[in-house]
Amino acid sequence: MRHRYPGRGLAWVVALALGLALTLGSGALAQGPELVVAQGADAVSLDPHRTNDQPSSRVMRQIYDTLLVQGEDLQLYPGLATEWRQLSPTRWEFKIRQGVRFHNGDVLTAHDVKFTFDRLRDPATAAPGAFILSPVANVEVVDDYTIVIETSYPFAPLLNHLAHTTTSILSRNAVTRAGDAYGTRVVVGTGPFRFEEWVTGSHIVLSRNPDYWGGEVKPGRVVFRAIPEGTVRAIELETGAVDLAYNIEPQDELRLADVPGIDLVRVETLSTTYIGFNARKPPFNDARVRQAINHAINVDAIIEHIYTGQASRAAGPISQMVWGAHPELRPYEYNPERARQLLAEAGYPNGFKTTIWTNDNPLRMQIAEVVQSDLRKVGIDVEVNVMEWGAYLRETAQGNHDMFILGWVTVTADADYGLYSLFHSSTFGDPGNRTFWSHPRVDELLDLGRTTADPQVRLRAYREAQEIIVREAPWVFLLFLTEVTGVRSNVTGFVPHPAGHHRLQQVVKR
Amino acid sequence: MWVYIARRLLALPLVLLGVSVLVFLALHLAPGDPAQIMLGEVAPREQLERLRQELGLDQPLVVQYVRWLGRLVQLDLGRSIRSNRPVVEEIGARIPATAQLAATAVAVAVAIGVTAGVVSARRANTWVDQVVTIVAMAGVAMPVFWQALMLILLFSVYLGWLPPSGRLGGWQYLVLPAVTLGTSAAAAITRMTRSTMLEVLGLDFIRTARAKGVSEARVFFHHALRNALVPVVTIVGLEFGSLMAGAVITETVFAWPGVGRLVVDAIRSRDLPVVQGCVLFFAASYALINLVVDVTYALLDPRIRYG
Repeated sequence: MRHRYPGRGLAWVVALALGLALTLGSGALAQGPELVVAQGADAVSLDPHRTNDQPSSRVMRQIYDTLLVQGEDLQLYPGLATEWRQLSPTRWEFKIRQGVRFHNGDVLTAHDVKFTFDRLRDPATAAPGAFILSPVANVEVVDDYTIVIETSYPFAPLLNHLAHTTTSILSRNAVTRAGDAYGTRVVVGTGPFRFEEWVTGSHIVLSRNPDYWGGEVKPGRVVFRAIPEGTVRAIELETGAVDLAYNIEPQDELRLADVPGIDLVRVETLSTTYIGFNARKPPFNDARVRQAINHAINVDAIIEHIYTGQASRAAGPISQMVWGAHPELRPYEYNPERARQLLAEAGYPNGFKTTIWTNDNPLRMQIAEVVQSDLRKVGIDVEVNVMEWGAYLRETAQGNHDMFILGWVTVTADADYGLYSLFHSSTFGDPGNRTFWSHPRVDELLDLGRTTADPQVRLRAYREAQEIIVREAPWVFLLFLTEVTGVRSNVTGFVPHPAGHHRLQQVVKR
Repeated sequence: MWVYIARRLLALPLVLLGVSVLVFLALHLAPGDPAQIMLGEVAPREQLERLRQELGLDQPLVVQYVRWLGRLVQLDLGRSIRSNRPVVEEIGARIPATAQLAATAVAVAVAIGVTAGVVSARRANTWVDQVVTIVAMAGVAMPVFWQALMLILLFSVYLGWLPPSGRLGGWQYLVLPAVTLGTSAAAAITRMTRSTMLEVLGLDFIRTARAKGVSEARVFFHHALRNALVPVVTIVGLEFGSLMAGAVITETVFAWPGVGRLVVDAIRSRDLPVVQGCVLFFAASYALINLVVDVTYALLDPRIRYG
């Protein structure tokens, strides 16, 4: 021992460490994966009642079906429901598709549908997406292939809500039997792909459902990889290890545009980014101040320099793709002179001091800086306050802010979803209206739009509501995000969905 | 010696108990409501209240802690608020990736660091020494994020030898993250090896050995290096311990499914059970590694005895 050569001991340490390292190596993927998709984060859960986040929804869209399907054109098509009719203002009847089997072999019946909706609505489930069915009062099985959904008040956008991934139809049998293991170890749907394997933090493997009711499924397997760093996601696409890369970031988009063999597919999304005012606090309780700030911020510059074109200008709160959007709104013109004039009228000829809050999202932090410098030109002195996400949500829900930057996705593509939670007086704080702005006429119109079946009446109500909202300006209406997907050119058939849950069963890799 | 090891192992639960109190308090006093974060931006108030009740968040802190501790002794760390997986499973799934990366990175660091340190000391104050010093300094100063991207660009994009990211099986996936982490740790080891080597070489017993006519190589490697390694082992132990707590930046850039990313995601979403579990795991692995380091001292230096 005493005369041992110490270098040898060291060599042993190195050898041991390496040995340990190699034995811990994970098993290789069994077969060559057919279609590899990269997104920025791993799914949280594949139980649609457990989570409502985008990476999870993107995977669940492949595994589950909904009663109705929202197409890439945002129209509604039959899904697991073949037909439906409204029995009365509050009662809807749905015919369930016959002969559909779950991945575990069970036959889909109306009982599964009732089980799913009851589970989603049950407060004990604490589903983050439960609000999607909040107007539903009762789900009744008429026979094995017929259900009736009753709402507690006339709820016009119900059909759109039944196309949301949160309302994906589960197998009663599979969920009950799996207990707590459902959504992570056991995942059973009726969709085009079956759940195979989940290596947390790394990837999820799905395989083709040969018995899919909706026609041939092209890919044999789909692997969803979680690659958080945008640049690395782009490089994986470039080197060919990945066939589709979601959310290509602005700086990588410019570089990939020159790489042969890669196509960039752009789609305008239903996601809006806005600056909210705290309308309960002076000086933001004065509409002229809010209008002034809308005139003072150069939104086109934000889109061009911060988003490098991955966004389009918002004239109002909801995108033109949303049903009920006002087609003739004009964006506030960038006009610092007009802003100064409005401020003077409101009694702030010399401006004032205030703060803008944002979470630590890099793009939003840059917006805050632009706002700071633009508002300085009209005499408003803005302090930027960057907060951690949890604290940010809590503080803005309590109304402790002056101005804040946030987003909203109108996933159902119906104006109700994009307006009610954000501008109705019953939704102050947590539920979504963090500006605490309200207007009696807007409340009336939003209630009318929600409860009337007549589409013409709804359209008129939403139009008037948007006119008031834009005029009263509880927000600075900024932009709608464009999502860029990188696609290898040997991959065809990829059609992006504006809600971001791209369907993959028709994608072909040559 | 064995008595010493046994005593240290017995003290481990006490260390963990202390850690558990600190973690628990720190997390519960931080702003942000886990129920709100779980339910997202849109959530009715009644639903929030119910979820808080279900998670026990409405109970006094002491009650929450005692309940949690009671389950902990049965190795039940609860379930993740986010995914509903058992925390033990959630962390357990990440440990192999983290341990593999940490062990390889340490091996890389020791191989590079000790070699460079010895060479540098042997050729002290020559141009060789200067070059090694500059490279080592650059290694410390280089941001991990940037180094990782440069390695990916070189070895994946231009040369096409190695996959850019992921852990999909095969040693190829391990090389870039391990080298990234290993080289930044190697710098400290190089400097430490060099300075302790020089210090030891100046001591009386080295002069005695030389006077006895012992060959220079034997003096260098047998007498000096062995003595110089004690502080080096300390540094290696510390590095290994902190790498077991996950190298967040490296794991993120290389999409490596390790504990570091898990704990950061958990912190951001206020997934308290997972955060608590991770920190306990970090504390336990740190304590164990420290024990191994102390035992190694005794093997390297016969003057050190534990009774």
